[in-house]
Amino acid sequence: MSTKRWILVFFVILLFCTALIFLLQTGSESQIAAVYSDGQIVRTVDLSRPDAYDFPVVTQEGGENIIRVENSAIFVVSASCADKLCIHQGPLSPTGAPIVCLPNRLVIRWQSGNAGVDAISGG
Amino acid sequence: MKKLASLFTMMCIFLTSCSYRSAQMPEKYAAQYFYMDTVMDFLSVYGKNAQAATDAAALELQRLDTLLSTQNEQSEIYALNRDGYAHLSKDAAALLETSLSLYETTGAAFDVSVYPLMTLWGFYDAYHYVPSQEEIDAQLLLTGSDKIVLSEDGELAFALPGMGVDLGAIAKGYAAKRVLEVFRSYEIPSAVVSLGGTIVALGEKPDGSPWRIGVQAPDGSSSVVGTLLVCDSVVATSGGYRRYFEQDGILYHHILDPRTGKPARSGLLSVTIVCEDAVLADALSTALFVMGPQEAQRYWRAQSGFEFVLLCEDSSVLVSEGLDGRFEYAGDYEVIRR
Repeated sequence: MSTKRWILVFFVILLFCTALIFLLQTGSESQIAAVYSDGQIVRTVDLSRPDAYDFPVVTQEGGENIIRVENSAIFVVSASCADKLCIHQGPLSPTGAPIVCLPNRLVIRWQSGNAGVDAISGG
Repeated sequence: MKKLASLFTMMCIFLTSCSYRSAQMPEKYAAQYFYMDTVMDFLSVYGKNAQAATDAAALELQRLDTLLSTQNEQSEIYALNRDGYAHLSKDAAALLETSLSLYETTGAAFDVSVYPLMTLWGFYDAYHYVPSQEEIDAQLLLTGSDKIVLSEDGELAFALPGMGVDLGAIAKGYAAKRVLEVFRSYEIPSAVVSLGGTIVALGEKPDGSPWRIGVQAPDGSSSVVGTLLVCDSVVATSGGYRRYFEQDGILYHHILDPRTGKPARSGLLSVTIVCEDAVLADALSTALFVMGPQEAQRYWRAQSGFEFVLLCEDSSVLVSEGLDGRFEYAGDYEVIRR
């Protein structure tokens, strides 16, 4: 191939790789949920994957929340707290206020913050 | 070949600079604590003193948690409610003074002396109970901030035995004020913190754009109905959807109207206040929720220094004119002018 051809090939590869990098970066950042127990991240979950499974988060005092990952959603299915508000909150939403279980000091939210907002004001 | 080699080098440099794109954003510090019965989320704190400032702010929150709680036996408020009088510390006295002043200006819509009523409805011990009108009337006799006597040096006494105060509607605002003071003393240029849903938006974002603060949907879900664009402000929202119990198909929420002794049913689903004064933001979000849309607008016209978003039960959305253009909302909203 002529040099000019090679130059063209290189630029096409360059453009392709750049596009890929941008796509991969923005795609994965917004799909990773972080699970915090007592202020520390205990698990990150990539919701762009098709896996389905449950996992427990246990506190020092023996409190427990069972978290389910299914159909690219994450939500609490079982909790040892009295009011089960964390279960009623449902799945973590795209713009979402984090899921919180106060008695067990559990917080589930998007790792890189929310797509649209920096914080959510709520009662 | 030289040309190819230099092209190849350029490509590599370009690719690596793209992947380091995110590293060009300033580093932020984040941390999470649990105080005042809620999550204190330091979401993004910028500046070289970010960690030190956050550590200091967390210590402050821990101190205020102990000081102001109604349930914590070590708190001044617990002691005040138990004894009927107290010599308050600087913080508690300042808060009570502001509370008494707000009681006057809001026509009793804001009233911290609702402790006997909150106890009656079982909001402290989860023994939820729908009281009779007689029982409510009896506790109403013990309600009213005009029955609180506060001297200039912080001596406080209740006019009647059995009275009590609950600073829940104003404590997070005071915590937010202290966090802001700590951050400013550490020269933090930019930060966003959620104190149990009361948002501190300090400065602007590092890229110069305003902080985007979502207003939570008043149905208990985790979705956002609209987004406020704010800088150097506190955003506070009150609504019954956060804490309530249900009995015989009726929902009873925790924002009591101090004038009736029952959950406020004023036609509002939630009130969001934007204000530079953190304590005012928190207190007014509760006060305007109790007032309802008409009284809230009258209050806003009479006072100054804050803006609001009212989500009404009839699905209308009212936005004060200072927020016009700073509230992203999918539907229509009515702009309220002075």
